[in-house]
Amino acid sequence: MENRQRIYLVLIVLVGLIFWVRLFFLQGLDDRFKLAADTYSIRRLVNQPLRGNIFDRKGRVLATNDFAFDLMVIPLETKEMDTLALAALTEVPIEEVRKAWEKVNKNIEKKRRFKKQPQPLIRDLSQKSIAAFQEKMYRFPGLYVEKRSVRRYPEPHAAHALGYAREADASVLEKDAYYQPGDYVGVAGIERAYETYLRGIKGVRKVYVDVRNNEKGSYMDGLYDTLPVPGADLMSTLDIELQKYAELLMQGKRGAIVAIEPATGEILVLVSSPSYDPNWMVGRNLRQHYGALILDPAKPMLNRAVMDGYPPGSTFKVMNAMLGLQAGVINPATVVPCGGGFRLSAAHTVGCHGHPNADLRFSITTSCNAYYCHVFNELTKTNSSPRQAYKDWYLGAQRFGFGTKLGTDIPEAKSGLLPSPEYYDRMHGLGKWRGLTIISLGIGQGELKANALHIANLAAIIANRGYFISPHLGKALNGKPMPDTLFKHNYTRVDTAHFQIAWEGMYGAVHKPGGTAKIARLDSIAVYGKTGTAQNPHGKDHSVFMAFAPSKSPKIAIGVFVENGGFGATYAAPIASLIIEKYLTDTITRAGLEERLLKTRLE
Amino acid sequence: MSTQDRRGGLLGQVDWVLIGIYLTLALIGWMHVWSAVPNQERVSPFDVSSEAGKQFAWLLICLLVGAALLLSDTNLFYAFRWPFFGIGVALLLLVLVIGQEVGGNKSWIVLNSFIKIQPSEFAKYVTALALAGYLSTPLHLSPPAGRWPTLFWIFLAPITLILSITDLLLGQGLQMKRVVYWLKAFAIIGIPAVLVLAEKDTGSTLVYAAFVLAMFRFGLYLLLLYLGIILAFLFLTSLLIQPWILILGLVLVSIAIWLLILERSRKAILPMGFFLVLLSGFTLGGRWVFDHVLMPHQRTRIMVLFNPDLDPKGSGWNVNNSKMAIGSGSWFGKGFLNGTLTQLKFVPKQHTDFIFSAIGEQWGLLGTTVVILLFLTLMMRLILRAEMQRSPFAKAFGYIVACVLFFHFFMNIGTTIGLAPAVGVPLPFISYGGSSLLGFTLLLFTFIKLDAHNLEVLR
Repeated sequence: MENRQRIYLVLIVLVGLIFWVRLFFLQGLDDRFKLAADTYSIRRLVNQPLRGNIFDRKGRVLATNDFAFDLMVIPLETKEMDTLALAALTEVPIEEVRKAWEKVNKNIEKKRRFKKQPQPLIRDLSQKSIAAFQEKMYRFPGLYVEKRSVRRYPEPHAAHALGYAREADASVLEKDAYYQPGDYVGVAGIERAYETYLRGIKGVRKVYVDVRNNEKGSYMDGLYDTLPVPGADLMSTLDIELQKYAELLMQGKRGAIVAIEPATGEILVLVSSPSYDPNWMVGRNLRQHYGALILDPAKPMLNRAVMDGYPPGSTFKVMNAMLGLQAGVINPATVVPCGGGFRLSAAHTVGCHGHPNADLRFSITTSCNAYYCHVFNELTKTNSSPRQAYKDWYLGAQRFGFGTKLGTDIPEAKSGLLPSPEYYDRMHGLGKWRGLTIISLGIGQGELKANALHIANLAAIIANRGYFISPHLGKALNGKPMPDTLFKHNYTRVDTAHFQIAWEGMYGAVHKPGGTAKIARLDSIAVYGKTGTAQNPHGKDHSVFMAFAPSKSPKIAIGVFVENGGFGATYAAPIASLIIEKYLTDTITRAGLEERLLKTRLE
Repeated sequence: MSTQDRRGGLLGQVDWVLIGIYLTLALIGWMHVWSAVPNQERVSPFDVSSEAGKQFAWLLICLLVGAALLLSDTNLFYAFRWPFFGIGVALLLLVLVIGQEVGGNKSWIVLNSFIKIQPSEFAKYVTALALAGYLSTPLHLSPPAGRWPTLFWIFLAPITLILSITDLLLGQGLQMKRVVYWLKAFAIIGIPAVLVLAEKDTGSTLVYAAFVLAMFRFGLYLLLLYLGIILAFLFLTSLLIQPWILILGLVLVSIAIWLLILERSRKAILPMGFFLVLLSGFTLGGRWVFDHVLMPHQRTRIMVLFNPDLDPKGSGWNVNNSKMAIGSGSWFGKGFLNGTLTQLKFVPKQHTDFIFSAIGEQWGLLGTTVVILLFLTLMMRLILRAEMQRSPFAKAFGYIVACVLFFHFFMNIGTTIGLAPAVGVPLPFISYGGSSLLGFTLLLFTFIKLDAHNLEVLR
């Protein structure tokens, strides 16, 4: 019987040991619980920073933050819901209120815990509706108003340049871990390009929550908490007044305008028509407008100013003149007999309008097709094989920005199309093509594609006599200029001296007899222009025009496309001319011209 | 400690180690009851409107009671064991009439908003006295079986059957005297146990199993202890695998034992067959009881032992959060009053049944090891001191105290670390609750008092 004492001692030690081993594993070896306990009881709350404002080059506000008001509901605290009275107060259609309330109730049926959780009933109410509701709020227990910051664009213009910011959707959330549901993200234009500056830095607050999800004070007395840093204010290069005027002129027409300050590459105007109000992309408006915008056959959401584009037409001839001079296949005195066109073969002629035989200067002024077919044909003979010579031309044209995105900061920018030698190898077969096969490149037609940004940039290159600075929309961040390295000088490697002839030719086009763009003439200011007509296999040709002014250190270079506008001189040239006049003199002297353009509807 | 060390008066005679452990555990308890509220809501540990304050007040009362016990007459306990037992049973009956429900158990007598008492804690003490008194007369000195009312036999019929069969198997023929001796002991335990069960207090009822554990020291068939352990194992296993596979396993193990250990003894065939049938029947019956008799919440309480994720928001919730709190304490804990789960009410009943998780979270493995070592020391010292008692009453009482503590220790800590089903018993001296602290104080100090007079007892 005595030895039964041992049973008790063994039992006690055994249980103690089992417990201790279990605790050793639970507490010592297994980290899972530590992590789980933290996620259980510590909530990481995010304080949203205010998104940075966007200004135009003169400091006028283009994008800022507004507050939206959501009507929130805690279903548990609600009594009978008088949807009719609520609809009347908030001026929201009764069907919408009923639907929203039904949705809340459905959620509760699915998950009981929703009963205690605040959830939005009606989002984005106007301040007026909110004021009316708040007066009668006592009649709606369980409802309250929550304030939320949303994007607002005070000027309903420059939609394509500004882009827009909206709540991050599933695809954004998946790609970038920075974003959480409800965060704003720039999805186009400046809002997208400068997203990382504009969005600011989120503040984080760690708090303890108890088992009922009530806040119970800050974690570690706020040691790890951070305040949100508001997004940087961005000054854009846009001139909103000029932009408005340009948009006005493009009313009823499809097309694009880009105006650049040649010395800096700053984009003054970026119009894509038809356009839309950037506010439509925000909050409640989005649901109203987005569908219609997407379905509109005129594609208002498309940024025509930077899309792949159309053939540049005769504006391209100026570049070919420069490349021809640089390669030495022509000189300013070279005269090519026009004779109504360039004879490709007995059967084919590239036609030209009747004009006297031209030297280089006059060929630009009068836009002689035969001259540039000749130049291009000569250019393709400068190397061992046409292909090799074409490659030299191709690289030269690339330096003028064609077939590239120009290093711009516009996220939607497309490179257009400058066919590479390989492109023609695929098209015609290796060794089966030569200069005459692709002669239309000489006059800016054929496979070429360029957009208003390319054309405006070409004008800027000529204005700068040989280089361009990547055209861009961002000017300064928080008052500090953008770093210079962001937008570099791009040299064409065409001698500066050669550009004198381009200046003279383009001056002639506007101011001299035989010039194709006399409609763009201004009394007080020298305008340098070049018309173009982009062949359009689908309909009426597109009207193209490029110009810069004034003669002493040009302040503006502009490229205009008007879809189905016909000759460059018809619409593109007068529009460009009015914009130049407006920008340089701030007055419009040709009211009649202006009125004619405003009335024109090409849609 | 040798007997020579024990000199002087009462102060020299009492076991200061036991008192020291008692005070340490009680202070740890008070401290952690104080800690187990949100930091903002915590008031002074002496503020009697708070639970910590009440626990402190109860601790003072218990110290007074302890001192009174030490100063009382040693013979009091043995002499008044039956009157005490009667009072205890009467209180349990009273609870059934005027008791109020607190937390699902109708086991409380509410005096006012501050004082609620739980007679079942007091009943444990008086049962211990009565049983120790009964066991102090050994079997060979006990009077002949005598006649007992028929009701008694019917009431205890299952136990009679088990005892008789065991006796038959172990002894040379059935001796009714032996059976009746143990039957009476079971009756002493059974009366309060049934009354507590009637209060729907499952945890406190199960505590009476601890008394049976103590009886093995005084000659109760050890076979029953082993059988009990095997049955518990079988029961839990039968929940995990198909009963018929389990029975097949039992048959194979029996044949192996008969072949290898019992060397094909013919005499062993009958008892082995008997046990095989018994165990198989139990396996099937246990499963049947589990499926058809137990309430759903009791079933899940058992099943979460195997799969804590079974019911994470219901039965598994307490245990899961308790394990998480303890586990997150890591090696050295998060620091006193810095436990995130403890202070944020993630563990329900944390100041009572789950107080161990508050210690585990705030002090880590270091703290839990200390508490376990304190309990091991306490229980082993009780067993060692009990064995030395010259008075059979003191010896039996010592064993009973050790076993009651052991049972609470096992069930309570076992629950918090997911090794025992959550039946809801307090951790002695540590859990919040005046009645429970008082009950354990009575048990421990009565033994200390008896132990202090060990040398005066003449053999």
